[in-house]
Amino acid sequence: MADPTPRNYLTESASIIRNHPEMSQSVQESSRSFDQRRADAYDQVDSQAWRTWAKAVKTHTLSNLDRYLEEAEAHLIQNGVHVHWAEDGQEAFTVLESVVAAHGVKRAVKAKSMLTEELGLNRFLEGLGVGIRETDLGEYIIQLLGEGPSHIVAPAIHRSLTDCQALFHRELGTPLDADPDQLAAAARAALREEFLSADLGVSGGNFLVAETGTLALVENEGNIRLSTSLPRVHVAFVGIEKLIPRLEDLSGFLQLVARAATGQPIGTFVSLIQGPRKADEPDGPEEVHVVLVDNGRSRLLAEEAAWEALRCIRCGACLNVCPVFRQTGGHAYGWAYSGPIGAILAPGLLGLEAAMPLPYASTLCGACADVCPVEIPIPDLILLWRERAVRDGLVPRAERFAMRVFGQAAKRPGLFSASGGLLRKVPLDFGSKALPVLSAWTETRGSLPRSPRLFRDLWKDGIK
Amino acid sequence: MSGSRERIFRRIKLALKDRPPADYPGSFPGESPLECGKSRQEPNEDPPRTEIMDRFRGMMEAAGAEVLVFEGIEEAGAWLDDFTQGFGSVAYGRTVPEVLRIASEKREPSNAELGVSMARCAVAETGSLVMDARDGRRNQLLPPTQVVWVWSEAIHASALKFLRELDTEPMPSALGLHSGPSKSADIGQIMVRGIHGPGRLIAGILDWPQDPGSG
Repeated sequence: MADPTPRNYLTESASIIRNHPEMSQSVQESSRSFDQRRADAYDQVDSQAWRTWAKAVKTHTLSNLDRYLEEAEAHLIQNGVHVHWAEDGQEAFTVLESVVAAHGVKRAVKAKSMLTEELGLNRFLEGLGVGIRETDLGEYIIQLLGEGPSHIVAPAIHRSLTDCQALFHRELGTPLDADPDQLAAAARAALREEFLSADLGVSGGNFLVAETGTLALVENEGNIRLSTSLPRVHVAFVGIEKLIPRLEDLSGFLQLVARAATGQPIGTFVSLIQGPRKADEPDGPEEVHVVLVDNGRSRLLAEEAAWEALRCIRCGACLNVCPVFRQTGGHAYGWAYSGPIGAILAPGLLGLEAAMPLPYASTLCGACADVCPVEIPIPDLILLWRERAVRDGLVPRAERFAMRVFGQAAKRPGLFSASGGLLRKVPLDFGSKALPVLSAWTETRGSLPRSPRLFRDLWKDGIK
Repeated sequence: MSGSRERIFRRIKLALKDRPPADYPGSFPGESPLECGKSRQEPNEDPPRTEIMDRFRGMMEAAGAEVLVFEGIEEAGAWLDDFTQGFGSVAYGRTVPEVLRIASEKREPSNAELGVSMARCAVAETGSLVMDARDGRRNQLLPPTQVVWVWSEAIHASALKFLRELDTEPMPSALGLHSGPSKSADIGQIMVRGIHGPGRLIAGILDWPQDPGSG
C-alpha cells in the first residue's frame, strides 16, 4: 500500500465512478450480496444480544487495556513467544528486519492483515530483498495488479471474473476463458510452491486472548493456517486494541465476526496459536514472534468518544451497507481502511488533517451503526470529527462561509423561505468562469432542470 | 524495544486516567439455536447426544463437508479401505489410531492425494473439527482431500463449552477449527473450493465407546 492519500478522495471517487463504471458495478453487486448474507445470519440468532455483549467486552477491555496487555504479554512469553512492542511502523519494521537477518530469510508468505497494509509492510520487505507473496486469493490478485485492498474482507471486490481471467492469462498462462475453478487451481499450484519454500510466515491477528496468550486468526481459504504452520518462523503483527480478556470470549467473537463479515456461522478455518512447535509435534514454526503495534492507537484511546472506533473487529459490515462506499469501493479513500470505519479510524490514527476529507465521505444515513457487531456509533463519530475539522479550520474557506450563511438563514424562517425563492431565479448554466466551484460539473454536464414548484410547496400538498 | 513498551503504556495509562473502567459483561449469552429439535437448554445442560450429532452433521454439510457415522471399527476400516482405492497415495496424522490406517502407499503430506487425520474434538454449534498440532499440521492442510476421524463422545454442544474445557488443559502450539472445505469467492465473487486447504472434507464420526488404548 502506498502512502496514505485521503486528500485525493473526491477526485479519485469521481474518477472511478466516471471512468470505471465496471468497478463500481462489481462493488455494488458484491457488497449488496455480502450485506444480505449478514442480514440473514443475524436473523438466525439473537444478534442484538450478541452485539450488546460484544460491545461490552471490548469496552471493558479497552478501559483496562494496560492491565490486559501486561497479562497477554506475560502469557505469550510463558508460551515461548518472542514479544515485541512497536510505537509505529518504523519500529515494527526494525523488529522484522532483525528476524529476517537472524534467520537469513529470502522468501516470505503473508496472510491477509489490515495492520500490515496500514504499515506498508510489503514494500519494506521487498526493500530488504525478501520475496514476499500474498497468499489470500484476493490479496494475491491485487498484488499481481499492483493495487491495494479495496475492502477489508474482500480485497479484490472491485475486480470482475473477466479482469481475473485476463490477469491469470498474463501471469499464470491460463486460457483467457478459464472458469473460476481453473483459475483457482492455477493460483493454488503457484502459491503451494511459495508455501513450501518460504522461510517466514507473516500474519496479523483477529483477537489476542489475555488470559492464555492465544492468538486467534479467522479465514476461509486455509492460507493463514499454512502461512503460520509451514515456514520455520512466524511473525504476527497485532494492534494493541485486539485484546479480549478470556479464552471463552472467543465463543462469541468467532461467531459474530463471521456472521457480520460473510454471513457464515464461523470462518471455515480458525487458527488458535499458542506458540512455537513443541517437542511432541511433527511440524510447525520453530519461532513465533508477536509484534504489538500502537501506531496511533493509544493516542486515539485518549480521544473523548472517538476512542470507540477501537472496538472495531474488522468485519467490513459497515462498508457493505454504506451507500457511499458502494459507489467506489475502497481505493478512493487512499488508505488501508475505507468506508464508514475508515472515515473514523483515519482521523484517529493518521491525524485529522491527514485524514481530510474522509469524515465527509458519508451521508450519515446510520446504516453502518445498525449493522456494526460491536455497536460503534459511527455516524456520531463522523459528526464529531467534522465538528473538529470546522473548529480546526480544516474545511475550505468557501464552505465555511456558505455554511455560516446557511446557518443564519436557517435560524430565520422568513429569510429561509425568501432565499429559497430567490435561489430558484439564479441561472445555473452560466458556466465555469462565473462559478469556478461548479467547473468540474459544468465541464461535462448541462444545467440542472428545475422542479416546477418549490419542494416546500410540494410537501405541503402531501407529496412525501 | 523496552523504551517503546514504556512509552506505549504511559500513553495508555494517561488516556484511561479519568475514564472509569467498564464492567465485564460475563459469558457470551447466546448459543445459536439447534437446527435439529430447536431445543433450548439451560446453560450448563447438554442437549441429548443425538441432537448434538445431528447439529454437527447439519452445520458441516451446510458448509460443504461430508459427514459419515460409523458404529464399529470394522465398518470404519472397511469404508476407508474402499475409499482409499480412489487415491494413489495417502498421508496419515500422527494420532490416527493404527486400526484406522490402511496399508496403501503412504506419502509425505505435500505429495499425498489424500490426508487422514484425527480430530481432537469437535463443536456442534459451529460444525467445527478441532485439529491438534500434535497430529501434524501439514497433513491436515496440504492433501486436496481430507478424511478426519472424530469420536462422537468428543463433540461439544457449543463453542463456549469447548473453550471452557480447553482452558483447563495443556494446549498444543496450535489448534485449527476446520468447518468445511477451503473456499474463496475472490474471483469475481464466484465461490470455488480447495483454493489452499482441502477442497473435499469428510468427517468420519466414530460412534462407539472409545477404547482408551485405541485413541
